[in-house]
Amino acid sequence: MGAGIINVRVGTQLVGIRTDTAHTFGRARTLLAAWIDDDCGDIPHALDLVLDRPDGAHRRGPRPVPQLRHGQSMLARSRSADEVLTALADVLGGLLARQDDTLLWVALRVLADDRVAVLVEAPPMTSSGDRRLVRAGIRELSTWAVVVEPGSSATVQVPPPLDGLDWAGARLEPTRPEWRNYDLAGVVGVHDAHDAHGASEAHSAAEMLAHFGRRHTAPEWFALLRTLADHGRVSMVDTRRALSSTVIELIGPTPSDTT
Amino acid sequence: MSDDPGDAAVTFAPDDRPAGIEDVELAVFEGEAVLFDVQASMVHLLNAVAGGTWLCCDGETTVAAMIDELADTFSVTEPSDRTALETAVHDSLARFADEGLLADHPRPARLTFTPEPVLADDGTEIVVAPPDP
Repeated sequence: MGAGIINVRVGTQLVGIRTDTAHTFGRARTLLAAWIDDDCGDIPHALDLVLDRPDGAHRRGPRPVPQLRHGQSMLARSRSADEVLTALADVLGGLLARQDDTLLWVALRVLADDRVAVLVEAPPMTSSGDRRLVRAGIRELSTWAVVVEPGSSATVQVPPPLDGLDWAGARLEPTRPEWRNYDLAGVVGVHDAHDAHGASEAHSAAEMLAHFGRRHTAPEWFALLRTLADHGRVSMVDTRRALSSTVIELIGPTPSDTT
Repeated sequence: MSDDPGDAAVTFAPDDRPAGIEDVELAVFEGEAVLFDVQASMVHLLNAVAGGTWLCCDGETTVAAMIDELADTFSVTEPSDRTALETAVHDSLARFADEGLLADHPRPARLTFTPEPVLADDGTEIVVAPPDP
């Protein structure tokens, strides 16, 4: 049960955000005040925002980890409620930016260090809180979708959060208001495929290209995948550990690691 | 070439010269190929024979010559293997025709499902949560 739904008008779309407690409701309303639409009537919620223990929950029960979900899909999950509320601002900013359909948008998860990103197709929570990734300085970016800019050195562009937010009122550190750019190092999918004997089935480069090629209809996306596949930068793995290893390998050492 | 609408599959005569449509991106790997049909926004995964057959669909090579060329490429010498190769080439061509990948063959009508947007009272689109898997 939610404590309340906040409706925001983001460009040409309305988004209902269900909150877990009155405290979460108040904090999110403060942050999003400039975007709230209280006159649109009742709309179904699209996002679930959990920052606190649900109202009335038993204090000895398991404490839910703060999280932001789109249906069953986890958009952000962190022990820090501040990080999840910030992720909400990022996701809504992505939703607004996504309305520009002249760009090559790809709805894949993004794992990145400060400069390099890997696009990941994985079930929700596969990479959340992975210690090996954290140790390598790699984290998942919360976003609705990302823009891929093909070219000789392809980039991933992550939209900024909504502007005009009341960061101070919500007791949050404001995040950078500009797009964040990363070099695209590769694409990785997690696919639980096993043969009749339970052994993992390997995927050929062609199978992986065909699989990821269906994620977007633009020829530029296919051409980019082909280039990445030619360089062994498209992978399909079947375990969380393999995902971490592959992402770390694709992103490579940070400049400071190489000195 | 038989393209009877009543037939389930298109068949090709040995002297037919199939031509692939032009607006296609192709990626060739060892033993496989992936073909992206730009106009239809469709991705096709091809095995070695289908990939080789596609490369021969230049509008000049006859079906018979395709089979000879692929038999040479794959070092097919046994009669039974050649029969299997012929079948695979014809199956590939029929598939290309069915998928609208050959010139002079109509593109198949495709049923695409686009969910109706959920609208607010003022007509604004409402972002909805995906259904549970």
